[in-house]
Amino acid sequence: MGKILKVIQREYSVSVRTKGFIIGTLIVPIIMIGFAVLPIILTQVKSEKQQKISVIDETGVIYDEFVNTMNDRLGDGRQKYLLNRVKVGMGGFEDTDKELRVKVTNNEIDGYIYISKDVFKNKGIDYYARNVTNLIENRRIQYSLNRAVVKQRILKEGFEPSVVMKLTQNISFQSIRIAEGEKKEGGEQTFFIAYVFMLVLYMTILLYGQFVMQSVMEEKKSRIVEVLLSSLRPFDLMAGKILGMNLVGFTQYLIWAVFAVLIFSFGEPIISLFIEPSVNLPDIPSIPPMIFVYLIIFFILGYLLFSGLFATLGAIFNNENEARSYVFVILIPLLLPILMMVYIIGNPDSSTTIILSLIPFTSPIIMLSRICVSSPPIIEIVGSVLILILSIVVEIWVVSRIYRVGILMYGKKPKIGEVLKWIKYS
Amino acid sequence: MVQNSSVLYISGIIKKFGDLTAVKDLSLKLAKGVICGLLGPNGAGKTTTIRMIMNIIIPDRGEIKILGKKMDEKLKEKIGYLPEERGLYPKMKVDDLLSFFAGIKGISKNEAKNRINYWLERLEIADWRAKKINELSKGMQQKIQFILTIFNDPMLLILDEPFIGLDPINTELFKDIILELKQKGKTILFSTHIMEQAEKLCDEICLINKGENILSGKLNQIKRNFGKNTVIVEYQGDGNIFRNSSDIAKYNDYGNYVELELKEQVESQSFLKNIIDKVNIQKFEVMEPSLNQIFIESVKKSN
Repeated sequence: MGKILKVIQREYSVSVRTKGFIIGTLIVPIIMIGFAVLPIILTQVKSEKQQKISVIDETGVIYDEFVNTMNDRLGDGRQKYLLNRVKVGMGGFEDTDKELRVKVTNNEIDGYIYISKDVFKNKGIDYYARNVTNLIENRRIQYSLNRAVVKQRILKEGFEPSVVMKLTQNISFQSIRIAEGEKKEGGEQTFFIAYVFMLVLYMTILLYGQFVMQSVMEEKKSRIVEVLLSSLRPFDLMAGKILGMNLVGFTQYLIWAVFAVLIFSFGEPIISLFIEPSVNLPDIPSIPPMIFVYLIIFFILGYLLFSGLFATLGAIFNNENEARSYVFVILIPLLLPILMMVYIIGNPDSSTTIILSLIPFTSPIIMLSRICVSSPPIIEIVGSVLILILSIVVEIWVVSRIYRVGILMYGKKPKIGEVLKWIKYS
Repeated sequence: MVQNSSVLYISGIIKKFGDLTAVKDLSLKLAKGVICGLLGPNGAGKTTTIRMIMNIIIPDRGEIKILGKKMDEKLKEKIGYLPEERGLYPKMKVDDLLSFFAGIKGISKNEAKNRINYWLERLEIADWRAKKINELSKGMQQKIQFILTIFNDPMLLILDEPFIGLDPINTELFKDIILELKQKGKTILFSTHIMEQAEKLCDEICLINKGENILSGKLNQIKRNFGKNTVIVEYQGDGNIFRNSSDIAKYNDYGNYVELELKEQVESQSFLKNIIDKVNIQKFEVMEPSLNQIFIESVKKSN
């Protein structure tokens, strides 16, 4: 045990000084700050340009209502939409259409809208513009036009629009999760937490698994393995390496957590120094502490399960190129939950999800996300954890045999058949 | 009883890799203060044998005991092992590297400091201790590697091809230290296929070929048993008399002198009488066979 500690110590002190670790550790808080600040900055600077739009209104009744609802302001208080009405001239619609098209090309206007007089017979309204890919903008225009047309229809049928509008108002609908018999936060927030934790788990397992693999390969390449084995058992070496890396991962989590707390506590006043007017950061999402406990449990177990495999790949192959196709095989069960994420979060208690949350390799990520979005029976959580632990024990037994032989094999790329024989050797 | 007094005791070990038998029924006993050469051509099974002694590979059958005990982690601390494939962490500092190895070799912190200081001074690389390994020259890295092997004050040293790739200065330096360790009663087993080195250093040899022990024992005994039928003759005159002589089994002309292996029943004294009138002899020397010769012939015979 003392020797494993020495290996852990070395592995840790070397790893936290690598460029990869320092960059990785700094990039995430920067992304966090980005996520917090970017939307605020975006609302500040959102297209400062005024949009000039011409409107051909053959009905003569839509335009006024449309102008009333298109009253958005830019950040500096100017009107966002500058609308002007165009009458169809002597040459008919064809000529006017051509004229407006030239104006758009010459940048005199940004676009024009054609409201046919048949609009009440369900004929469409056409919007011509230089840029029609901005979906938000398109929807904004569609919404206002829709309102204006509907209002006219109601009037035509002899009703009072304000009454109808009031009667047909949308209901307010809110989804509230119930866990352990208590009301919990809104559905959107749980979705977000599950999503973030799945990604965190996926990224850290992937990243640190690869670090373990590289570290093993490095020792093979520098031919130091056998020197180490004169004082260590292969198992000590493997265990020390994996645990050392795990500790590095924890350090990174810790630094990120500290950053997150700092950003949420002191972020607002600091950001306000740079951006006017002062901003409101989203509140710290209130995450039940048990979810953090599960995050750590599933991180440790998932990480152990996968890093054992990565360590073995490092021991079998001489470089990352040789190992690449096998890395992909390992990644499939890790990737599967991410690909199925929408399904899993949407159906946290379907039988497919339950089975996947019990199968080792997919279970760490899927069980964690189930815990985030619903409350799976405790027996399933315990079962998942026990199956994971059992799998890790079996895996260590097989893998340490392959590792023992593999780390001393230099030179040519071994075949799978040979690797299976290694299990029998020692 | 015997195995208790032996520092290294190997009895009938066998190791197979699939169809290939790497080591076949090998036995070896080494007492205190002995240097033994584990000799053999490439692929003979030297490294496999050494790895089995170090418990890196486990033999299929047979027994290995060190200081009367089966190999375990505590015992490893009393052994100095220099593997054939050796290297260092290129990005670690000399001091950090040595301290790490002291840790896994079970040397206490204070003791480690003293020993590291002693060996760095002794090998004249103390000025480099704050440098990273990859900033050191090849020769300096070899010195660090050698320190790692011996700084735990081992009872038994196992060196796999220790002189390979060494410059002549380091070769001499390490040879001196190995002999000094022998004086202190350490037992040393080293593998090599360079016979000149083995000849200079070894008390005993163990020659293996294709995994089998084909010759082992005290070096001087082996030489004596191998026969004294080789003579070197420096002469002037017609060398054909050697070529045509019926007394001679083997004939090697080196220009200035000939190396002759006499037939088994031929006495060197009577051979000298036979030739003394025919050529002008300047030197006549009865030779012990060189280890090189013994090696080549034994291996050929066993093949």
